[in-house]
Amino acid sequence: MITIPLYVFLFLYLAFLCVFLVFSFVHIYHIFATASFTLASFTMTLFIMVLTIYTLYFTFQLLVGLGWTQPVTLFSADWLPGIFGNSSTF
Amino acid sequence: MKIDELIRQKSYEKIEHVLRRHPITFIPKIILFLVLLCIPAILYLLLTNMYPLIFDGPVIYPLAVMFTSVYLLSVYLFFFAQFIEFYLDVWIITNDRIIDVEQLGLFSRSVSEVDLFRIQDVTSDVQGVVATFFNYGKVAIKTASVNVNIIAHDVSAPNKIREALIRLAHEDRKYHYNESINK
Repeated sequence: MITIPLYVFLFLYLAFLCVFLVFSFVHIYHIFATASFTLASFTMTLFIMVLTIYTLYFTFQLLVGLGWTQPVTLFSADWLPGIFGNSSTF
Repeated sequence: MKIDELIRQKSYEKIEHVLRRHPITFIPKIILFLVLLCIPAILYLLLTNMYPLIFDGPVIYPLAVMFTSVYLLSVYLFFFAQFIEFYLDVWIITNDRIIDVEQLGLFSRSVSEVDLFRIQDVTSDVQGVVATFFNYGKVAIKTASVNVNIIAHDVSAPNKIREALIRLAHEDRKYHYNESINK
């Protein structure tokens, strides 16, 4: 049986957030670097920022207070008979 | 940064037009964005109808929340990238040259420019019902050189732009002709 604690997924999620932030900053850099900081680009950037903040806020609200040490089973030999039929046939 | 800094505007140069793609051409991407946003809600409704207790587990619930969050943030990032590609394609027409700045993905940008007096042919092209109705289309600028041809895609009022370019090219040609005679 292969199990990992649930907080490993939380770390993966945080790593994704770092990548997300880097790419967002690259986008905003492009807007300034190409002299395209106008009302339209400002509105779009603000819209994306608001959506991102809302999503992160609700994610935090839904995840706060959970048991992060719960084991997550990635693989178990017990699953195999379930896949290939009755174990007594082997 | 301002446009005059971007193009390193010369002292005698005046910006005549700054062209971007027509906003209507971004609507399909907005529709795609809305459809992608709806997918988690549809999946949630389908799964809870088929398996009412599926999200009650102590492991599946946080995983589902994190996966949905990652999905939504990826959709926002994708939509923002689409906007950047759409909005950062810009064609700047001055009384001396035309500069084409094209954003090709996140880490690739191409900038090319043509002196107006080198322009040989300007073609405007409006194709389709929507393009005709909203008056946008393609303006193709050809020079004697095979390498440098500029195409402004989906710009507003392409016929007016073509006329303006022909007029500006004519004036620039006269200026360069007089300059060569005076030498």
